[in-house]
Amino acid sequence: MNKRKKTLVKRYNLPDMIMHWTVAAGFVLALLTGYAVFFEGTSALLVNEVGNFIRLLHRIGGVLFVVAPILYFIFSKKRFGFLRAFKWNKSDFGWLLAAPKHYFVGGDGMPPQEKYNTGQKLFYLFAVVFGVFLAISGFILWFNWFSATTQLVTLFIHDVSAVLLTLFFFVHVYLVIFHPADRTSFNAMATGYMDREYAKHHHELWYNEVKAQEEKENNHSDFYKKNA
Amino acid sequence: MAKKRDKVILVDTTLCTGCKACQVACKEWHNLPATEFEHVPGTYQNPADRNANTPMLMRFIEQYDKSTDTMDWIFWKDQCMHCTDAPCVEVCPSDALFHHGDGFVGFNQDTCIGCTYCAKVCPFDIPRFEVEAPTGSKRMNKCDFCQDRVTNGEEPACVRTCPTNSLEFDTWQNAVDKAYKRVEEIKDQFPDANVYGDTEMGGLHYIYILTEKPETYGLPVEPKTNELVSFRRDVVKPATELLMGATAVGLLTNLIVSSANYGKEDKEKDEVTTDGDDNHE
Repeated sequence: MNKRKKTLVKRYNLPDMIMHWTVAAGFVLALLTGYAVFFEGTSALLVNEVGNFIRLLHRIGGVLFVVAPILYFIFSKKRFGFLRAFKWNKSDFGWLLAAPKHYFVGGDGMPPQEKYNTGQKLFYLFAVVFGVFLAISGFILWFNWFSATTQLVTLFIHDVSAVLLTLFFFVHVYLVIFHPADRTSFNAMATGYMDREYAKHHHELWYNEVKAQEEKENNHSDFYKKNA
Repeated sequence: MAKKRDKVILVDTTLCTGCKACQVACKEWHNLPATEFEHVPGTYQNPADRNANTPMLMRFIEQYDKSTDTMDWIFWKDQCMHCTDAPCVEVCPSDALFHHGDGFVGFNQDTCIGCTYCAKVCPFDIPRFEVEAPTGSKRMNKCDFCQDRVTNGEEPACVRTCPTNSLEFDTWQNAVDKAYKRVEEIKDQFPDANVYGDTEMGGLHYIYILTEKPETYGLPVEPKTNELVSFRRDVVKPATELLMGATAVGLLTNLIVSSANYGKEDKEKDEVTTDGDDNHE
């Protein structure tokens, strides 16, 4: 066991991270350009060339946001990983009840969590559901193949989906960058490895699984060493 | 409602000869290039539809009445109607569309970003766009009421050029009064004659004297603004601002409260773990 393995536990592969960061880059690009058009305060910026460039960037962001998960779905072995976001049980409600105290004051009392805790599952759920809404409505708005009224309804769906996802996105970013207890988890998506202590504490069920797997592998290699 | 002193163009379709001088004058004044000829079978209409380079189009409709064995040849001037309650101004994110002081819907093409929101809400399907890949559309174009001429005390180009006085430039109330008087005069010849534009969309800044019912011309009988436009303005946008603000405040509060609390806990923990490490070594 090398030193890295002693303090860290593998959580994400390279494809997972590439997918995540591509989606993130696309989303942020689309978010900034989208709200530049949505909010009236920015209207002074919008003249021909700038406005067209903003609309082009918005489409580039949208394409990244949509294409990355599609490629991931086609090529990654973990293609059905997103289904975890739809698996809910009683302990999730226990988590939701205990979460406010945990995130403000700290302390225990949170039900043991799997690879993704209830909050993460909820964000994942939002991203999948409203991401699909955004993708479809964005596609309809991009190409003027539909009637004016259809497009207006689509614009409404696009607006509302974007707002809901943006709010949750703020929470997501806040937790991994600023929150004193959770910001260490940023490393997991940045490097692929998560702090062992953190994993034990925050994702106990998943950590136990990983540990059992590691032990099995160690025994396995020990077995071969002995017989070599 | 439109103001009495608003500027308005009165269109008397009974005087129109379909000469298209207005269509040409419009293109000339706005310095717009010619477009490819489009043959619309059975009519003199060209091109088939308005486009970014043809913001105003003479439309030709031929109607054969079997009962009397007569042919009706209808033409009308089709362009932005300049609504008083203009939904396009409401949704335009870059203030390219605005309410001009004289009542009509002014248009500053330099700040148009081609978002096509105006086209999604216009009850008359007026906005047309320069096509551009990959975003689909560039600048919009529509009748701007010759705002440069009107602001300087001139008549719009189409009115100026009309050889039959079918087009008249007047104040809103005058034009409406004239229109109703004219309809009375022609009622015998055209029983369906009516005034279009005085009540629609809070009063248009184009008042039409029509010889047939509006639907014959393809004009909406009761044009109205989709409710989503006001819902977007009154609910979606304020709610977005409110929710974003609330989220920001919530997260900031959390940062302050949790930093204080977790700091304490960490210190206690640190002491414990340091002890633990010492024991190990």
